[in-house]
Formats: sequence, C-alpha cells, structure tokens
Amino acid sequence: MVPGGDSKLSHLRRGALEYCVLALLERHERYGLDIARELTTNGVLMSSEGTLYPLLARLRKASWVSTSWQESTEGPPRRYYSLTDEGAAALEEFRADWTVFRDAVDAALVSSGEIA
Amino acid sequence: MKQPRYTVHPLVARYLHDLDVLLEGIEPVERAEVVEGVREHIDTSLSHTQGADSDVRAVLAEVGPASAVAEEAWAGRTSPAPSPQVSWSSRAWLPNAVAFFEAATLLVVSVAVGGSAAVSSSSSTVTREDGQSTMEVTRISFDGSVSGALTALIVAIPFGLVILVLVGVSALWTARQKAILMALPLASAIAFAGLPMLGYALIGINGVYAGAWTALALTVGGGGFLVMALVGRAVERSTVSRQRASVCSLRPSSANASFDRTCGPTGLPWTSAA
Repeated sequence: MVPGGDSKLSHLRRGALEYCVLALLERHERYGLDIARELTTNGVLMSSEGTLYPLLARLRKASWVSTSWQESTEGPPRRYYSLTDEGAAALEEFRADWTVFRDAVDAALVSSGEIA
Repeated sequence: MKQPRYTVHPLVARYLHDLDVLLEGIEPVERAEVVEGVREHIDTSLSHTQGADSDVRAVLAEVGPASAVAEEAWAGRTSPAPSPQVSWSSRAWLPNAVAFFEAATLLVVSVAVGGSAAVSSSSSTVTREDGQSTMEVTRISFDGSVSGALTALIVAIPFGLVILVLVGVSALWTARQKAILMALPLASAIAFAGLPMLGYALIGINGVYAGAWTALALTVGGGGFLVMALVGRAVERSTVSRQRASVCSLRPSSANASFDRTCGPTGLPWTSAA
C-alpha cells in the first residue's frame, strides 16, 4: 500500500527523528518541552509534542541519552536529557549514513525528473 | 531533589489514564516513563498559564491525542496487544456469574451433607447379673459421613461443571486463579463431609459439631474471601478492558499498522500469565 498525507511523512520520519533528537542534545542538555517545541516548529519532523516521550524512553533505554532532574525558576523541576558517549557515536554514524542516503535519494529524484 | 507536582485537572487525569491504558503490554518501566514524561510536559506547559480549562485544552491539543502517543510507543513492536473488542469471556457479568455458582455450590453441598449425615441416639435397658436391677444405656452415634460425601459430590457436579466452563473460557483470571476457583466446590464438599467424620473419630459426638462448624467457617470465610477477591479482581480487569476498547475506538486519522497492533484483535495480556 502506498502511504499518503500524514502517513507518508510518518514513514519518512521513522528512523530519522531519533537522530534529530540526539542532534538537539549535542551541544547542551535540554528538557522535554524544550525539545518538543523545537521539533514541532514547522510540523514536519513531529506533528504532536506527546509523541516525543516514547522516543525519549527508547533513547534512554538504549543508553543514548541520560536524564537528570534540575530545579526551575519558573514552574516544577524539570527532567533534563543529555547525550551520552554511545549516543554521540550513534549520531556520528547516522550522519555518515544519512549523507550517503540523502545524496542517493536526491540523485534518484533529479534523474527521474530529468527523464520525465 | 524535589519531585514535580502531580497534575490534578480532570481533563489531564483522564488523558493520562487513557494513555496509560493504551500502553498496557509495554514494559512497565518504559510505560511509566512515557506517562511520566507526558505528565511533566503538561505540568511544565501549564506552569506558564493560568491553569484555566481553556489553557488545559490548549496544552492537551499541543501534546496530541493519547492514541498518537501510544502509536509511537508501540512502533516497531511485535508484542501482543489488547483487543478493541471486549469479548464475552472478558465481560463483567462472567465473574459475577461465577460468584453466584460458587455460592450456590456451597449452599447445596452444606444442605446435602447436613441432610444425609445425622447424629442418632438409641436407648436400651440392660439387666444386671444379679437380675434385680436394670440400667438404661443410651448410645449416640454418627453416621452418614461417607454417604454425605458422595451426596455432596453428586449434587455439586452440575454447579461444578458450570464453574469449570465459565472459569475455563474466561480471560479474566490467570491459570493459578482459575485452578483455585475450580477447586473450591470440591474442597468445600470434602470439608463438609470429612471434618465432622474426623471430629467424631477424634473426640466423639462433640467432634461432629466442631468439625461441621469448622467446615462452615473454612468454606464461608476462607472460600468466600477467595471468591470475593478473585471476582473483584476480574471485574476490575473487565473494566480496564472496556476502557481500553473505548480508547482504541478513537482511532486517529494518522493511524497505521503500529496503531493496529496496539488495538489489534489479539488476546488480553494477562491470559497467558501463570
């Protein structure tokens, strides 16, 4: 079956979104709402904020992120997520794979467009 | 470190409950982590607002439907998931019916044993050797224990069969709980027939009464407690099953194969539990 609309985006996101989360944590730790707001900015990477948490749970289970609690000056204490060494290694590996994959997809699309 | 406050707004509580129900079957730690993550997210979002109903609704809209969060949590999993349809064997009437038949069995067994086993007394006059004086001897005996046991077993068979079928097909109990429910009628029959006989053998006629009362106490107290506890738990599971079916019926427009696995036509997770 050929997916369409939201389902098509959902298929494209799968497998890439978790690395986008790792990339957001590369420079500094962040809390859930902060990550979610960043990823839902244009509605492409994530359509609803809540779907971030199953993904974060999987990343923590894989030991790619770790968590810690920190007090907040505005609101309740926040659980901060930070990148682990394993997570950083996985991100680097994905970056290399993604470049090859993206170039291959671009090449296929451009070549098909030229033929059409 | 201070833990975050718990969100108590009814809409949030309902949302988190629905999410938790949809995640049933996922590893407990991961399931709790997802629910807590969403709860913290909502708490943090609401801390920037006045906390009015409209604020809560807006925050929940941004979080997205619970089914979408569950869909993401189930993505890529092959674990068995709950069914959106509550089968008849998981409905609340079934444990109540089992409770009725367990009680009926107890009643029938106690009446049958009580009616067939009896304490009898017989008096006779004995003339002493000197031939001048007589003495009246009263013999008190207890009989009917064996026949009582057989009678109890026979009258309990129809009820026991109904209990065997209902408990056997139900998805609301574990294998161990089913074994307890199935064994109770037989255990009560054995207790009612055996304990008075044992009491008679040990201490005579008073032992019959002691045995009968002990059997009654064990069956009504112990058996009754077990039945109430197991039936109560089954009714609770049936309620959760119904709620999950209700949540699963709210199929999001973006639902795909992973959502279908979450709410797909498979058995309840506890049916395979020992």
